[in-house]
Amino acid sequence: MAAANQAMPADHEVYSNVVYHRRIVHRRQITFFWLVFPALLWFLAFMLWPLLNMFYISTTHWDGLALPQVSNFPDNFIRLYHDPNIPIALRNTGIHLLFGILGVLPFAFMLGFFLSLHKPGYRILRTIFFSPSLISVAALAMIFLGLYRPAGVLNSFLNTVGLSSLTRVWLGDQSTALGALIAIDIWSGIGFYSVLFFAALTNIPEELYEAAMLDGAGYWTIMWKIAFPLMLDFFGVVVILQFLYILSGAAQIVILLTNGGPGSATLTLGYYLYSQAFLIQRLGYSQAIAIVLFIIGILVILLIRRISSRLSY
Amino acid sequence: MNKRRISVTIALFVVTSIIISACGGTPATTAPAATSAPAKPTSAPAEPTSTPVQPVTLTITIWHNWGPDDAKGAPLQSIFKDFMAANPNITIKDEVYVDADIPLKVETASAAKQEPDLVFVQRVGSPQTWTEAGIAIPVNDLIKEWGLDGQFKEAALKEYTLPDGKIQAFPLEGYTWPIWYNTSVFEKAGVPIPTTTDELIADAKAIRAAGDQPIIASGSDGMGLYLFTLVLQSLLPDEEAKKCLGDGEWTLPSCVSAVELFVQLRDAGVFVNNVQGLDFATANTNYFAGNVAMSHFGAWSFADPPKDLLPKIQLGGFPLPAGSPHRAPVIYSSFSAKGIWITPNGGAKMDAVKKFIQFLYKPENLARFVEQAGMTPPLKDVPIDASKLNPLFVQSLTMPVEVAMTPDDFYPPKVQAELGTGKLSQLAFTPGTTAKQILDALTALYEANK
Repeated sequence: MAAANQAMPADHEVYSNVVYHRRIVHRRQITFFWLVFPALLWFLAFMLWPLLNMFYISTTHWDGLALPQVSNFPDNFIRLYHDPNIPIALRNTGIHLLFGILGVLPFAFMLGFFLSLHKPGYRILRTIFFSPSLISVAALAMIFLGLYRPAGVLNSFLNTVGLSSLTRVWLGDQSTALGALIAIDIWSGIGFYSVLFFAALTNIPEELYEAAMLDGAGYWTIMWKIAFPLMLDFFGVVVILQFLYILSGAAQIVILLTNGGPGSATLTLGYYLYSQAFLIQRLGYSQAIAIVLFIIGILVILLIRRISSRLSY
Repeated sequence: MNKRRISVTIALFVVTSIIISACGGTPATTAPAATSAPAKPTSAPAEPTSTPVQPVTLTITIWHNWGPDDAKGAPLQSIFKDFMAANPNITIKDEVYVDADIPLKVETASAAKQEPDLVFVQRVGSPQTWTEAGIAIPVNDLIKEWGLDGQFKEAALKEYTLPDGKIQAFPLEGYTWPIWYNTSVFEKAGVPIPTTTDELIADAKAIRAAGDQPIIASGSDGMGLYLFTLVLQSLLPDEEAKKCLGDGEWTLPSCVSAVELFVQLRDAGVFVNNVQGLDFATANTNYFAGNVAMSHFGAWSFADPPKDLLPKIQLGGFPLPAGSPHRAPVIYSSFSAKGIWITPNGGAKMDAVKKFIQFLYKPENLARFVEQAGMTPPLKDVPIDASKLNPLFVQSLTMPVEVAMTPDDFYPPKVQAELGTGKLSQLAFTPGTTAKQILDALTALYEANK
């Protein structure tokens, strides 16, 4: 007992130890703050401030960089509510998202799985699949302009094989223009995402596949019953990437090929935002549209994260 | 503990030093050289005072779109060259951009006060707001002070005069925008050049039967829209056209009838196949190949036709429908193709700018554009060597036509910007699109841009 008492520090010693440790923690916190301060400053200046500015601009009437900004809240949002183009843009964006995600990711996953099996020639195939991603958007637009134009490759092919009745002015026809643009995204997206899936699928131990094969499972079963469930979390991330690309980035192809036309057949939210900002020079209203895109983006990302985290192992 | 304190102190010192050095600007690099240089003896003789003072060299920066591929590019460069030879202390630095890109480039550069001194751009869209926005200087007084008063055509100056009376820019390029008829295609089909829309429909059938195509247009871009509006205006007097195209009153019976006329002509096959998919460049190429009967190109294309096609082209207006208020086929004609805006940066070197503008607007210099590129000059008297004139330009001076007001003069600016994308013309030129669909799209477009 006496020995135990000797080992126990006195109260004042305990107090001084606690104070000492608190000081250390405090100093570490200060040091930590100074170390993250530059990054924090960077984030505030270049990330948060422009974002807040977007909300501010959306409350103003601003018809050109050189013209004055006048506060007009909530006029831009009232306009947004009554704008007949918004429902059209939402519908077209929805169609683009639906086919742009469903038309790309399952096939990209299958290609990625095939590559991950390391069959002979997979390295060459991997390079071929990825090559569309190396083409700039302007070059991509030119390729497909040559394909889709009235006397282009597609119509010439259809004429050659006796399917002249199917020829169209693909980008000028209201019934085919949006589909023609989605096809470009599918063509350029499948290869890119297949390489991403391939990289992720290589982390799955081969023993799992071998065990399944011993139990009589074929590649199709292994792909969808073993690899896919294990990749659900990653799949969710890829869905988010493709979703964000279509929501905002896919407007590039619309700008280059159709300008939202014919009529409003390819008018998407991303393009509408661009046209209001840079063609019509209605800068305040364009940022109100940007807020709609921002909110849709956040909500859908949260939804995808929730679904993928619930389903993943 | 002490070590930590020291290390934190050193880290803070380093960071502070970096920040201070970054804020301190460029160190005076000349200092060491100055100290190492031998000091001049104070008794050294003074420099001779008779050395002539070198004049200050000024640079005038000009943004324009008259590059080497444009017929006006060569005369413009020759004027730059002659001006610099006559004014060795002034250098012209010109940068060539796509015409449609220039306004936004100027506006962003202006926000940073780095805009060019002079901008050559069309009087369409946002440049018309530049005077109000302070991007350009009104030129009313400059026209008088620089001796150009009374030299400009009244129509040209009127187009560049804002509602408040300010003249926003110097008019430079005028144009006529007629219909081009390839007479050999009409001869092959055995039909005359049409003066009415009924004749046009009959001609189109005959031309197709002969294996050629009737009217080509760039149905997929903003240029094609001018043919759409010209067809509408063949049935409308200017004041009615203003109600449709300017005020967006597309439910008026006259506006509806005009759109129905266009649909009737389109569905009768007066336009080439797949016209809704053609852009301006493709339409040009196809027309100059010689198998298309008609096109709608402006004076800016007068220098473009191949030599064998040139004598076959007859210029005229768009045929008139029954009930038209016009007495002769209609065309567009305007001075909106190019004006010269002076920016605040240009205003800061006004003497040099004055010399250049006076040089450019010398009648004999403007004559170079007329003779080499068939440009309609903005001045009343330009001495022209008739033997050098483009034959199409000569034709355009005596066409039996009536001029309809260009829609650019009454489009609301934001509607004009959106129409320029071509999505409306694409809709209008697509076979099967009804008049109601076009009218609804136009109504929605005007409503959205009120």
